Amino acid sequence: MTDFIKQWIINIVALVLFIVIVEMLLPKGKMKKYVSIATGTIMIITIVNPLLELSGKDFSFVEAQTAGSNMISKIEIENNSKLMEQEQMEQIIQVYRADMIEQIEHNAKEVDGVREAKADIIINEDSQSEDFGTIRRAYLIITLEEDGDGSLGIPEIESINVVKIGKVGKLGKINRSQAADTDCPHEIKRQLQERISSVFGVSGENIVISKKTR
Amino acid sequence: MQIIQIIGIGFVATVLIIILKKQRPEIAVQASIVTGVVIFMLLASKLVAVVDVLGSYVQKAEIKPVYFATVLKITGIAYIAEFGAEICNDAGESAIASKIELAGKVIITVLAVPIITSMLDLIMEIMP
Repeated sequence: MTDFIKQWIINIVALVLFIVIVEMLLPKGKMKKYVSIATGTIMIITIVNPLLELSGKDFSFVEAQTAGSNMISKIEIENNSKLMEQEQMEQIIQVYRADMIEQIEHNAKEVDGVREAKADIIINEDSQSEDFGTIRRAYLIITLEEDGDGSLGIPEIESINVVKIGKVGKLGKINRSQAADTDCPHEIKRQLQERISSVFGVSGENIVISKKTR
Repeated sequence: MQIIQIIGIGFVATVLIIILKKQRPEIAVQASIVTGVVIFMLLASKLVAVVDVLGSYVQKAEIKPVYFATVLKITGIAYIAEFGAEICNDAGESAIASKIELAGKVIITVLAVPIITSMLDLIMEIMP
């Protein structure tokens, strides 16, 4: 019993001295009170813990502290992994989208009469959905072989349409697919739509094809 | 007497910084940072010695090393956060200084929370 009380007093005195030295070293700024909370709590635990041992109950401060630290670390890791997963998914979508665009452009160029093709797609980005990654809409801007490369000789001057002032509303109603009908030769458009539909599973009405204007 | 050295470095640096602030204010901040680091480096070896001695006494007194380690970690974080915040304050960036202080507080809280929760566990253990 005497040894127990002796050890207890030594513990308390040593810890008090240690905390006093630490508080002497501390900067006098706003941090002091936060450090005081931690040191004060440790002091209380040191005073109370031996009483608990005396009453026959066993309490391990180290275990309790490790459990608390582990819990905080676990929550932190879970949050970080969620963020990383989200970032990873965004990167996957970007790479997939770029790959799909490249494939569509490659397929479009294989159609007779098409020299260049630029594609853009809208894909289902909802990773929880069953249709994740499917192409919802594809836009294709093509340059035909008959147009020439545009780099040699004098480029053909396009005719200018009559602009009717005050009828903007009517002109505004022309959508992209209607514009594509007038721009792109019907046979090439049909071939492109068939090819993209069969390869990528996009329905014909969701493929918008237009001819590149110089 | 190392304190004379430190005061000397401090005075010389202060005079230089006052002159630099008028001529080249962007270098004045860097000089202030370097002075702070040099003074801290001069003290580091002494601080290590003090911590070692305290550590050996903690072992002798049979205090659990986890108390010692936690208090030292918290003190170190508080010191570094204050040091960084004061440099930012000197450079006139009080907004960044307050963010550094916030970071210091958050990290200290992360270290202190397990101690506080273990005290709560202890209280619950005591209760019949």
